[in-house]
Amino acid sequence: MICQKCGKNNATTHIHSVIGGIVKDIDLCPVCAAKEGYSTTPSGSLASMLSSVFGDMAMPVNSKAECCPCCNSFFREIAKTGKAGCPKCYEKFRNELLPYLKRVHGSVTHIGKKPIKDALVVSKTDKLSEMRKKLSELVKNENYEEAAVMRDKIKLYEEEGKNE
Amino acid sequence: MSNWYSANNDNHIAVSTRVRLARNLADTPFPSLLDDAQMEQVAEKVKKAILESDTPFAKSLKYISMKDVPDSEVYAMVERHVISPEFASKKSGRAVIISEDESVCVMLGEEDHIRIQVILPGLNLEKAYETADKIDELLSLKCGFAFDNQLGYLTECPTNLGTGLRASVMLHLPFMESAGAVNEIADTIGKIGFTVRGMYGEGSKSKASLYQISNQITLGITEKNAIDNLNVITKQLIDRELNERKRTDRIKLEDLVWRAYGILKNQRLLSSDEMYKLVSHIKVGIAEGILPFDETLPMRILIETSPNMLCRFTGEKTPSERDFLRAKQVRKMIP
Repeated sequence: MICQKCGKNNATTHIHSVIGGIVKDIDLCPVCAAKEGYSTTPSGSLASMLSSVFGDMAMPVNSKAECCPCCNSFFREIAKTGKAGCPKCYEKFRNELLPYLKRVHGSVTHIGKKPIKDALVVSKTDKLSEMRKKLSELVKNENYEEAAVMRDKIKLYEEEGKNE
Repeated sequence: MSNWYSANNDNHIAVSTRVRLARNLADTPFPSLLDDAQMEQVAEKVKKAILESDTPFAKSLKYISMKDVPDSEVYAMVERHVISPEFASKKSGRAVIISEDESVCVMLGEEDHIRIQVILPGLNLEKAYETADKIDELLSLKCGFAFDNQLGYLTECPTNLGTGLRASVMLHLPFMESAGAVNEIADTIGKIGFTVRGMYGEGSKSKASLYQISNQITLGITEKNAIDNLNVITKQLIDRELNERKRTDRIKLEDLVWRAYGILKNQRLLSSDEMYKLVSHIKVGIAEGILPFDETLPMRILIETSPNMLCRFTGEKTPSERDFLRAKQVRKMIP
């Protein structure tokens, strides 16, 4: 059987997954299986599963030498312990981690809630554009008194944003 | 004020519901790379964010530095499910922000900087999540959380990335257990991203036929979907347990329950393993109307006579002294 991913090599690994009720079957060659984050080692605890997955993965050459600029963790340390050193590790080693995350979670895209601070930034931008729109309308209608009030409001709102 | 195991709960199978959110501060290494002083700074920042938010809810919470808590009480907190065994393993640099009834406990310095935990009696996932979400929003206003548009909330362990949400329900499944169905269920629900664990979470064995069912997947799923799915699975398990119970011979069941009652009412030495087994039978007896006792009694016995809970006010005891103390306490609690 030929690998369904690269279409070149012989498939040696059969993956049967049921994630969120969706059944998927795929046959992969050892290289593509490793790229997708599938280990040939039987998994036990989460940490051992992590290290077995990472251990099997073909590590990109540069990841062996480079460390996280924030906490100085090396990818090999994360692979060994199954734990990241700091939030920035995810930025630095994103490409190495994605195949593993795909295997564990069945997805690599967050669709849940976002921190309220981010939500506020969005709503603040919306509010500002709304206020500016109103200001230009007031100017257009030659309602200068109210326009001046609105202008001050916008200024105040922008300054608040900067101070946050 | 009642906590989860002493509050009334008309669901005889779903004992408790727990929701936890894992959160970390941006630009700060995860706790295992922080020294105690750095972790204390993180804890201080979170403490200010919650306690100074000036909301009535925040006023109901209390900040406790773990180094001010005696060891026996720390382990008693684990037995009450207020903190995780991992959190109890180290006191320096760690702190909790906790409500009076202990239903809300924010652990600071566990695997992640912040672990928001809400534990409620019975099956109440929506309410538990709603409360955890409220604390999350309160904190997210003041503390910049580590968040990535693709990977969601960033956590020390990649298995928590995304929502950082772990929701679990503790179920009493004695009939499924004796029918050998629990392992089969664990395999089945494992395939759809859920896990079955013992009473004290990861790595623990089941005691008193109590099992925790929780979600495994946190990335690529919304909080609502994770909770809805767990609700569906839990309800199916409850139905299955009720069916197994119905199939059991009534006389055999009554015999089992009354024997357990007889022993618990009269014993003079009681190990925790024997207590777990017998209390599980008593719990079935109450659910089936065989024993006219308060429905909270089994869980109260189970928690209040755990080794550290038992010795909280008497000081440390040897295991055999504890068995004597437990026997006395249980005789007193059983009507």
